[in-house]
Amino acid sequence: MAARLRWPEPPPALRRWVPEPGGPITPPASSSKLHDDRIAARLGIALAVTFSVCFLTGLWSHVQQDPPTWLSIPARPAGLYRITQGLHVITGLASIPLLLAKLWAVWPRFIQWPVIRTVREALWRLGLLPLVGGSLFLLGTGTANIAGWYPWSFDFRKAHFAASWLTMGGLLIHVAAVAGISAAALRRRLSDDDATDGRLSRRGFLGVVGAAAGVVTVTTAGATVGPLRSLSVLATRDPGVGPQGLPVNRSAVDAGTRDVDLAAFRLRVQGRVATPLELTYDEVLAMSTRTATLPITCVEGWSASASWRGVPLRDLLARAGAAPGAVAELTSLEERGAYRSSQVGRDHAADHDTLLATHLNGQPLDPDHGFPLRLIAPNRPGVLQTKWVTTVEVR
Amino acid sequence: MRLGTVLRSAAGVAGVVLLGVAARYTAERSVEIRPATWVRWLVTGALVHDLIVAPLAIAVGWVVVRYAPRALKAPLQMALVISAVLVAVSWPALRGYGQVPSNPTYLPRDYASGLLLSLAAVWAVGAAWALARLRRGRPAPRPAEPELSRSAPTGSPATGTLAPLP
Repeated sequence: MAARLRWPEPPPALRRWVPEPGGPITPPASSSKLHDDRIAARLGIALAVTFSVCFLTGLWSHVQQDPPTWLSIPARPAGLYRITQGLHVITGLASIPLLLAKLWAVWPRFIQWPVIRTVREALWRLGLLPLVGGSLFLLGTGTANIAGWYPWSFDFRKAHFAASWLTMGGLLIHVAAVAGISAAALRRRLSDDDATDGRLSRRGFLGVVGAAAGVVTVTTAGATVGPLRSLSVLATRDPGVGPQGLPVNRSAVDAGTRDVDLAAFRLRVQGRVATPLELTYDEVLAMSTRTATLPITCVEGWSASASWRGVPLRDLLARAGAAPGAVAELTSLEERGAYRSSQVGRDHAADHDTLLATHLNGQPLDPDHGFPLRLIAPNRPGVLQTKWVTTVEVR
Repeated sequence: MRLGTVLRSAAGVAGVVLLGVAARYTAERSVEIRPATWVRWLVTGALVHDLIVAPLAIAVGWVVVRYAPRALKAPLQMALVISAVLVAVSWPALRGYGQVPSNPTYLPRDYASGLLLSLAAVWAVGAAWALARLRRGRPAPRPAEPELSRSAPTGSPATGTLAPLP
């Protein structure tokens, strides 16, 4: 235990609000009985659950985009990524009221006098920075990201990923530090009677926070949960709005692929193949096609199902004489952009629903959806469903 | 050693390991993450919350419970909390941040109407609740939380219990 240092008396303005040396300052505005360890513990447990869901689904999304060499991402179940990423964004948004309520409940601790009395306390406060700063960062940048707003200079995905490790590290350390206080607070039996002079009771407060999480969910989750679409008036995307009834993340104008010259267009299948292919658009159309209903799921949490028709990638690979178990890198006509190419792993390359699609809901692809050819595969983030595909490099 | 102590130590050690992963990843990807900017955002977020957002929320809450009529207090608290969260969540969409002319599928809705509609629903519920409370009449004033003061020796009835930092 660190030695207790001698600190000056609180400034006169604060003196009447300091109940005991070292206790939190309690100005009248913070004297609500909702600033309470029990409430903090309850909200903390809820946040530990939601943050864990966000962390695991986020990790999964990250691994999909940067798979380690030893891992082949499974192609099935087809809707898995739609569920995990939908959960990631829904849970993150629902965490906003939980986090704000939790920080509100413990805030009087933040203004105790003296601000820091022991080395241990200094460490404690410093140790909260990764957790508090990280949590606010994750929920804030996530909320901006789903609106397509990037008011910062760092790479969103990597900065968000780094902050998630920081936050979860801070969370685990925090759990280790407060487990005792929380357990004791939760063991305390309190009556939650209504003698609150008309204010929210403890239970009422938790109910309101839960209701806030529910309202946020209902007004936003329609970006991926179909039945909520008409209620989700605050969703930043609408799964039914876009060219051919489907949203777009990168438009053909932004990618510089608005007017593809079909006469000059070739699909090349090359690399480790017996016979490299160079096919015109008509030659691709002449191949036997397959129609599959697959979701397109954006990392930003929206998703929508559509009927896609195209040539199975594995048929193209077989025609070029690629070895079984081959993997491929698909490259777009797009000249720059973080997602102009993507890797198709072993499982996806072998799946019959991994298509180089030419048609969406029965019509030729809109330029915004990747005309003339785009990749569409089961269980795959939208950013890896490469559009305007022109090269298949077999590895 | 007790099981609880073992688990707590394990959580603490795991936490430090995760912080290490964050530090290593940030250092490895420093070109993309720009660690100085990243840290500035983390610290600024915490400071803005702790020095501006939280005191403001506490002050507003204090005014409401101090001056609002008894029957309106809880409904007002409810409506204000949910409204604040809705405004925060919809802020980028409301301001049209992220809108690009080349891609109208971002932010396709009228968010001002959407927000007003949501707020109207929340305040309608609040109003109905307040009416119900007014109708039920004023229960005889009771001493504040006698149960609390009896069973929680460390707590005072008027304020919550926040233990000193461990």
